[in-house]
Amino acid sequence: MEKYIVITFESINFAMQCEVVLKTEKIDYQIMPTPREITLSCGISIRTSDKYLDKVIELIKTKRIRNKDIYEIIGMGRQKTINKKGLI
Amino acid sequence: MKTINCAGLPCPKPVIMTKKELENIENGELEVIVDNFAAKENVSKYAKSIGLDFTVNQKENLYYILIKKGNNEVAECSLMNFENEKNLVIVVGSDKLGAGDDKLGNVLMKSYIYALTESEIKPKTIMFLNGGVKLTTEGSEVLESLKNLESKGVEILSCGTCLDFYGLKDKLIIGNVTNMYTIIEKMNNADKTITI
Repeated sequence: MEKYIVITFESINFAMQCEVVLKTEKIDYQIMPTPREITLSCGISIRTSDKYLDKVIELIKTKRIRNKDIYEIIGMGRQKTINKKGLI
Repeated sequence: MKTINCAGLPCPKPVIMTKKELENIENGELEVIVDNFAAKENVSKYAKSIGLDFTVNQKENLYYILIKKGNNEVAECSLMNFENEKNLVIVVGSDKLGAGDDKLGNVLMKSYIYALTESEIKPKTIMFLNGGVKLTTEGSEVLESLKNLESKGVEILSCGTCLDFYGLKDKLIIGNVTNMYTIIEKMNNADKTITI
């Protein structure tokens, strides 16, 4: 079992902007395809540890990152529970 | 007990011969002799896939695989299980996925390697060539996914000449160094090679 958060975006350009911010802030992240359960589109999302949730929320506000949603995912591989975190 | 000597036979002959012999045995033991690690693995995997017990003994350069077959085994349709595990080789020739915008290519490659970790069918080997070696060395952003793949039994190989060219020879973080002979061998022995 693992727990992580997934940040989704309206456009890949916003994902790339967010990547730059996370890199500068030295937050570990991974680029991943948006999970099928969230959207069928071929989107790019950013995955990071749930310990960064508050920090990410703060950065989204202060750095004006245009994200769509944040999801918390618990599970392994294909078996997972997805909880949408309320919009900030 | 019947013995078949598969030493010196190319893949997948040992597995095919083992399958044939096992079909003729209702109850008993079959000893298969092979002379290389890959053949030993393949024959063992096959025995396992059809639910048979086996033991492996290594004497000098030969492997002796003793497979026991009982009455109640169902050997039908189980070669399918084995065939699911095809020898898939992925060749990564760049640190970007697709041609066009490099920044986009970078993001797509990260997404691709991540998605591979979640795919049910895993490649047996991933080989990194040319700019692809930037993904297995210091500063790569996909190391976590590659470690994940390696822990699931995927072999990770980087081209030695390429590491040298990019000055990354002592910066390899994951997998082993390989040369063109091995690359050819892996490609030629693969059931399917995907080049990206």
